[in-house]
Amino acid sequence: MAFKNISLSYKEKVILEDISFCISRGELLGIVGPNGSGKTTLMKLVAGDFMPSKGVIKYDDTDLKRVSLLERAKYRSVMSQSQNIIFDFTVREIIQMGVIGGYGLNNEKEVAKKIHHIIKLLDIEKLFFRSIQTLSGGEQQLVHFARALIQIWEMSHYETSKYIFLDEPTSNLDLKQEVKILDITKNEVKKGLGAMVIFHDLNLTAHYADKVLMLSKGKIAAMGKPSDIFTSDTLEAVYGLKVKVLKKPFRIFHF
Amino acid sequence: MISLRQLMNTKQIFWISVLSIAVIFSTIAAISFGGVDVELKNIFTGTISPLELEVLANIRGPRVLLAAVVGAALGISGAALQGLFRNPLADPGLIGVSAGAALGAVSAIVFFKDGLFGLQFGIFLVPLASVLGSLIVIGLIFTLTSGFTQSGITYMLLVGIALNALATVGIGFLTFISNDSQLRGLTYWMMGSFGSANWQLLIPTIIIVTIAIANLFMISKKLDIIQLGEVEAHRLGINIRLIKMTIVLCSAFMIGACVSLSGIIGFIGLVVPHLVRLLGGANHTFLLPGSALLGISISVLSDLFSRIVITPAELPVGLATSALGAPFFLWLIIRLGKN
Repeated sequence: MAFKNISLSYKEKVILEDISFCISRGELLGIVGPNGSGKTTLMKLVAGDFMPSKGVIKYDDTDLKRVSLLERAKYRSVMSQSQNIIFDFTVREIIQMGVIGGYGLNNEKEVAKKIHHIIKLLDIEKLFFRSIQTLSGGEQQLVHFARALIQIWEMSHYETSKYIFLDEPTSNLDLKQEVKILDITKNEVKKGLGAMVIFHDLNLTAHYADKVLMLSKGKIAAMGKPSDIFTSDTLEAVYGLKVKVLKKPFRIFHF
Repeated sequence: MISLRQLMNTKQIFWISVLSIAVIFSTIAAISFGGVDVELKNIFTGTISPLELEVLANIRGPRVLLAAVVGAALGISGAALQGLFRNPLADPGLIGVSAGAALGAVSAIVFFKDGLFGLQFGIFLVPLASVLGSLIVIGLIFTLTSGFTQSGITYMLLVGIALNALATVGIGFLTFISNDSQLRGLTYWMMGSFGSANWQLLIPTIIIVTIAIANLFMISKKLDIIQLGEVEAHRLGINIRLIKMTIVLCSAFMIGACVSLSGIIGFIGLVVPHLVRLLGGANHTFLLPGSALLGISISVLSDLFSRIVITPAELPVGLATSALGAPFFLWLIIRLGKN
């Protein structure tokens, strides 16, 4: 999945400028950067929510503009930072919404099997028949992760190109759930999924990401392996904060 | 082939069966009772009197059928609009769609009925103007609220209320400049009644409502996915524009056609979807048929109540539905506020 010389402007304000990178299958790309640096906008562009002012986004070898909505949905899934469900849907119904193509009407048994695996994987069986409205913020986030995962999930390994984009997926979660979501994502990446995750926590990024893209004011400030780009000089330049970087074990301290 | 089991769970199938039985019983009651009571069994025994036959075929039959069609249309369009706008307070009456339809109808009566348009379109002039009125209001709500975020739910309702007020001003102005014979017709629209049902207009209305309901059923699963938000639904491969267009057109045609025949019947579109959600759940594969069925029962029974409560006079049915619906609306707002 390639991103070539992407720029985005809105009312003469440049939001993203000359961004180029690619995400490969079996790779977890971490996106970091200060608030307002353009992380979520970048994810929206990759997801195809809107088109860039300049540049090309390619899903495999095809220009995103030529990929139909349904094909995009089969190719990549997206989990937003927050979601608000107005009516009283059950967890089961929400997860089913992630199943592409008539949401489970065509091959009911296979879909049921998939859902069973996903809820077991996330340990949310107890929530399955509950209303989404009665869940805590963290539990809701797990359900939305399950919905995003089932959209592209494969039981054994990913034979075709599939990607998952997560925008701060652990923002409402406690430590255990945070690790669970990221471990599951990492495990899917090992099975051949491509992942792009916006992180808030640099230490988590260093632990989970294979490659990191650091954004600052809409431009790429650094890109590469976490251990290469998380240097005190780069972090100070981007975040405006003095930090210490410990190499073994890899830790970033700001006090 | 899709089975019922794939669309609804056991509880929902149970409630759909109960609501279907309620439709049958309420319809039988509505046909049987009134100024002249009709013994339905006389039809089967062949002992029906000419008076009973006349009442059934030309007065009460079309009237009950109109009440049923309007109830189904209001119930299902309320459910579909609430789903589309992701707003539990969306109701064709509250957000001005019914008032837009009434304004269309009233404009046709005051300005065009005796002119060239009146000659060209005949009895279909008023229904067509009505559909146009509701289309304009839904289109305006849609355009004016398109940039609103999730927190814009209240604003969307306020835009609807403002449009409702504008349409009501229009109706008020037309009432003011109308002549005596026109005024009788206009008052009738404001109150709502099934009394003027006739087969000539009823049959096209039934066709419109049936086509619209069938179209809404077809998109019910996609309407569920829209509950994740438009952006998420788009990411899941849903053509949002097509779904919106289907709901807007179906609702506008149904409400326009119904309002032209029955006037404004308030609150059915608001109350019915909420009751159906409380019975069996929020998924639209259940909610849409459930709302159509409960809409029929409530509408038909409200009409029966309005016919028999002060016999031989008649209470406008719109008053009865509003008397029931307004307290419910208040309860709903308080409940939403507390949440």
